[in-house]
Amino acid sequence: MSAPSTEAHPGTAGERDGALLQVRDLTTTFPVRSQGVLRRVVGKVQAVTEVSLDVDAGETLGVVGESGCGKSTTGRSILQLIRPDSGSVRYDGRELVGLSAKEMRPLRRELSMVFQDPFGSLDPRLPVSELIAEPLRIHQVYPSESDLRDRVDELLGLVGLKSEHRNRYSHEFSGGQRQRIGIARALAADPRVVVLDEPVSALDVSVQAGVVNLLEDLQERLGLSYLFIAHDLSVVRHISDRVAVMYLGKVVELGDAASVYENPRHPYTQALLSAVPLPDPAAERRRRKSRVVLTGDIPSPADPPSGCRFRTRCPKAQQRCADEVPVLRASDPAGTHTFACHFPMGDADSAA
Amino acid sequence: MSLLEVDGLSVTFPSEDGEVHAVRDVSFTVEPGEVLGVVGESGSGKSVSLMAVPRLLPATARVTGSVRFDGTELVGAKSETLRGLRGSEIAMIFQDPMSSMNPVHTVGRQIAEARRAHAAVSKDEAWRDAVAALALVDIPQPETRAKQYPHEFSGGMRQRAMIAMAMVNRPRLIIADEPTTALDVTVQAQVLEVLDQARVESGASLVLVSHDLGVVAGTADRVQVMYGGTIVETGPTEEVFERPRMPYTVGLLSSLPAVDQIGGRLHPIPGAPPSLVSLPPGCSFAPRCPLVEDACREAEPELVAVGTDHLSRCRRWQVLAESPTENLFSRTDTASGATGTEMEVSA
Repeated sequence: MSAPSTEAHPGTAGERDGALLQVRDLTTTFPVRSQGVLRRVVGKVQAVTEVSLDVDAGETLGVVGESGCGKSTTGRSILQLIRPDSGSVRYDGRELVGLSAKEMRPLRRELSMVFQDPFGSLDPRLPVSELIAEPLRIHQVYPSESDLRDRVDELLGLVGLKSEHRNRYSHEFSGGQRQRIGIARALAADPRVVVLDEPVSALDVSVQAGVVNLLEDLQERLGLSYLFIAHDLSVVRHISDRVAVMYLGKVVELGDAASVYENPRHPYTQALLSAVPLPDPAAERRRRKSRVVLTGDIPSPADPPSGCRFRTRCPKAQQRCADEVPVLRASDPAGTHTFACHFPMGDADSAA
Repeated sequence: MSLLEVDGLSVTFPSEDGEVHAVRDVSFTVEPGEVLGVVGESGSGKSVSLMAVPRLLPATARVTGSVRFDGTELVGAKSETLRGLRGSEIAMIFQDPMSSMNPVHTVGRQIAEARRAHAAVSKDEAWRDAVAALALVDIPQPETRAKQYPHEFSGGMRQRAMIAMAMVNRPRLIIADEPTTALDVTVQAQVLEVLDQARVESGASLVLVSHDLGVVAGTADRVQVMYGGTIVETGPTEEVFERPRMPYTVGLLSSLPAVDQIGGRLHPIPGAPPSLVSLPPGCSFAPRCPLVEDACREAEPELVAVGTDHLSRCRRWQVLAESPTENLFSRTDTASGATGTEMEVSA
């Protein structure tokens, strides 16, 4: 396990000088316990391994990957909702790793989160006005009730709901509206960074589009930074400035969204992109013939493969991949696109 | 003759708020060897209309109309008739393989049991058939894997085992309800490939129910779009995707972000689907439709021919034929989610 490093390494896509949020070598493990009464710790699952990334002010960094790749744990570890084992998270120059819950509390105003499940993340016993006012009360932002009331109405308007909705309960709303309430709640205390964990995955496509548009509008109006975690590659591409691709706890590729999607260097990114079914019958039938279908399943994060973690499913794997852990290296001279692979895809065999 | 002929099928459920009209007057056919894609959003009636075929519905469901499988009427048929068809001639594949399998029996035993339920074969023969079925769906070391329990399989393997179980009795019709929705995209690609391979090999017809337009685009010969419990557009897949003639289909397609395109603005459909308890009197899409006119609100339009084998339930489909459809929903704004119509969904 590497020691926390707070040094920025200029010239790589993941790490930028002066970024609002700087994550370095973040590692989070979960204990594996025995079945018996003692529940002894018998091993560790490496959910997140040495993840480094930056989010600039006003920027959206998308994090994609499949179930179990550690994308959600990364988001929660950054916000200290799960305590990371090691590494560093600097927000606006302040180190978050190691802060106590009490020290973290004032910072929670500025670092907020939107959850996937708009049904499970809202207390069914509170009316909408209280759901939204709750974070404001906790942070004691508006001491007067009438100011608080005005702010709740303002937030409802901001997310496209009406002030007459304030006395209703969450079950009276549709999925899309509930997610708007979740967003209003996350924005209540004026955050600067919002971690969005699969914010539109539970929604039907026609409703999802409205929520995505809303998130983009709010970012522009309020200058928010987003860490947008999702498994849907199309949504991530649409909303992100830069994208990090994760596999089995590690970032395998990171760069400008257009560059990563059009010129993927890591074989996993390429396989992921080629697996997305397109809503275009002619194109989709062509793609099916040339699709790189990965064999096998994601290995257990309790016992990840040596060397490159993707090698057990990689069509290009060789001996070196088992012996040597690939490090993130730059794909272009500017260093805006990095990947961790010994035998990367060239421009000739890219997915697009 | 069509393998499956569904005519005037309606399904209603009683609820505290009144009768839920889950499926309303749905008619379609499935030809031998054909792949029919059924798309729609939550509550569109796409699953219920297909579950009504082998009558896999709660006891409170009221089913009217006609479902003929290979000439045999299934609505009102005896339970024995349906039991004889389910899992043999008509196979089902569900979204969640974990809850469709018995956790205390080995995968091989469950597939062999499915075989023995419908064929007079010995236990050994049934076991051999089960292993062969697992091999058919590309499960490595099928003999060893057959002796394992469902929890020892990964999600993608479990879904492949479900396909193996569906195929073991050589069905003539496979109904797959969101078969890859719970799976990751690379695993989805594997499972779709296996499903297609198994279907081609057996010559079975496939009805693929999915909310994912991409999955349907690559698999289906024909597609039918459902909304508010009824079919609103149907036709050959390329025809419907490239020349949609129902504003709802246009809206669905234009609200999708594209993986091969960056930025820009998405075009959501304003409002939300109608309540199936109190449907509007006219077209069920009228409250959300940018082309709506008074006549649309008065009576529900019929399905009309808009091209070769292409039907649309829209009285204004010609507007879509005459002008480009890309910008149909572009006027809608994010604030539209707050319109009164969306409140109706909550029940």
